[in-house]
Amino acid sequence: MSMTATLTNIYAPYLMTVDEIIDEAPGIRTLKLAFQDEAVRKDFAFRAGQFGLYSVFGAGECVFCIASGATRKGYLECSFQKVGRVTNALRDVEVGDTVGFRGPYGNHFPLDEKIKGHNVVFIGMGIGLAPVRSVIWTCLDERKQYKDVTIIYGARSADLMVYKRELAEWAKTPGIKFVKTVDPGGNPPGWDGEVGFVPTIVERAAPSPEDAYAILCGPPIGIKFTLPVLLKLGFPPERIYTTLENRMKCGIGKCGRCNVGGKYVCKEGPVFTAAEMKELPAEY
Amino acid sequence: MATIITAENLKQLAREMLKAGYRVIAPAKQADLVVFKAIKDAQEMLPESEYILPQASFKEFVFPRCECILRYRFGEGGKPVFESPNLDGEPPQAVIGCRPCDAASLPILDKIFGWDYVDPFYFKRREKTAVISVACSRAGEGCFCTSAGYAPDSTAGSDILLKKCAGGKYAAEVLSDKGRQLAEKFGSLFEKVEATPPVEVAGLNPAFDVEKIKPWLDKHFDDPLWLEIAARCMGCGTCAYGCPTCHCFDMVDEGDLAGGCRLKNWDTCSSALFTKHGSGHNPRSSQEQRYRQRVLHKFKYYLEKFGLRACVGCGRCTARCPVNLDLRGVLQTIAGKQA
Repeated sequence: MSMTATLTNIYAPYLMTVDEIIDEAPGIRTLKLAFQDEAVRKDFAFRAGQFGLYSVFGAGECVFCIASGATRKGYLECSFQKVGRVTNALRDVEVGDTVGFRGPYGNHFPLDEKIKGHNVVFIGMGIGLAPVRSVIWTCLDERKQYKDVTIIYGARSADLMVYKRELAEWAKTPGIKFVKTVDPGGNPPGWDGEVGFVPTIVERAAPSPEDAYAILCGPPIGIKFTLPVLLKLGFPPERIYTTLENRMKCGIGKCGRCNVGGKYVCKEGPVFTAAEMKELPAEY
Repeated sequence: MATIITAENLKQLAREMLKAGYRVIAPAKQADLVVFKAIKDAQEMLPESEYILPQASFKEFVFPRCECILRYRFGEGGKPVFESPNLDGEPPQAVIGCRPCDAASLPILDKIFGWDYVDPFYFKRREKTAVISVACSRAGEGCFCTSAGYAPDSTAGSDILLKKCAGGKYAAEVLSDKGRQLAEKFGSLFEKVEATPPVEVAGLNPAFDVEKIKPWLDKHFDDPLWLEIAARCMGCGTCAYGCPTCHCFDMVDEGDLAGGCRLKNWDTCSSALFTKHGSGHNPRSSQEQRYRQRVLHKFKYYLEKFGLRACVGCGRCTARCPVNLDLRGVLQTIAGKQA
């Protein structure tokens, strides 16, 4: 085999400065990161739905979606829950510290290719709102190019909801139908949203499938139970998009662990339609 | 015209290559095991008659068990400064005396490390690796190369293939530019003869028809057979570490206050931690799911994606498994089923 490889280190990350830290919910944080290299800051582009590997030097790398809008240039945001070695280290970084980022990797939600000019229904569950939020902002920043926008968001309890300031903003924005819900028991006194699991609330809110695309993300169990509701409401499986987030190490189709059946989530995903998911074994 | 090299000159070849600055990798003794070793002295190289397959394949010389892929020290204000890993400073290396099955693993590994993003750590070694393999004149107990689509004298991945003749000589088949350059550079050790003398190549009847594997796998993701087969799998990973084509890896950081490095380490799909999410959810939570992944990856997914199966039939997984989980037998069972 003759390889005319220019040998560059595909595992070397960009260096980024932590510009802002936002506490979203107990254990959940958002970091706003700016590229240190001037040229990268200017040229870096991604598509909503893509992901990256975020690293704390000495602790390791972790994979999250890019949570900020693709229309916002020069910086990235990621939201994470502290659960292991790397996320605990990420939790300890302070404003001004340096972290690493590799990406953007994977495919994306086809906003430009398909969704523009149609109605969009966004469904987020728990911290699974992060990838959906990237699409929401990308869409809201070019609001005129989309028709009706519906956002349905649910979390276990009111305090576990992420992006609280933005939820309030979306709720007030004319032209957005906004529904928030918490699991039964997660509603504090004076709660002004719905109470019930997301699939139930989606069924009750009954967004119209007419000329519409649905974009949803949440824990595997949430996706599993929301998909049938959308199908029942009449959304064709080709117009329901979700993003799968299996465990990854390399993010670029080498390390061999993120596959669902024959598909590498990092290469052929993370974005899949419900039609594509029907062809996949339940390995997510 | 044919080319011949004597066993004595093969050793001399190792000697001269060492002198010329090559890293020479050959089967050698380590305690009472035969392993691939970067030898320091040609005397360490075992005669081909003393082994069939070394303990593991020579994969670790193109894809090390543990490798630093990013080194950094903390500079001013704790900001990491990268010390770029050496991407071209490897010496040329030659594997002498491996079997055709191990050689055949290279074109398979080239696919995964070369698609889309080119892994520089693999290719910096791969491009400088020459393979001089020796066809098998006898088969080992786990061998099933002829069932996996190869043969005791397969040429895939070899630059020069040697076949045993009478009188301690080997017929040398030069198969690539790299092989030709070696045969020229060390030309005095090779001898030209009129015609290839009779060679000894092991006979090994196929145990199953490999073409029948994928059609069954295509339709039986959920099948009681997986549980039946894998009930005794301990998930130890011996099969993966010995395998010439297993390539899955982990990435971890090791560091202290001064700096650190990011490491790429061999990993195995039989470990429960391999796919476990941070949330605790595990898409492959039971051992039979993990064993199924191993078989499907090798005989279905890899074939669909890259046009090759990720198995050369060396049989190490079968021979080394502590609970006798015999992949060859598993494949035989699958091939015997109606897809």
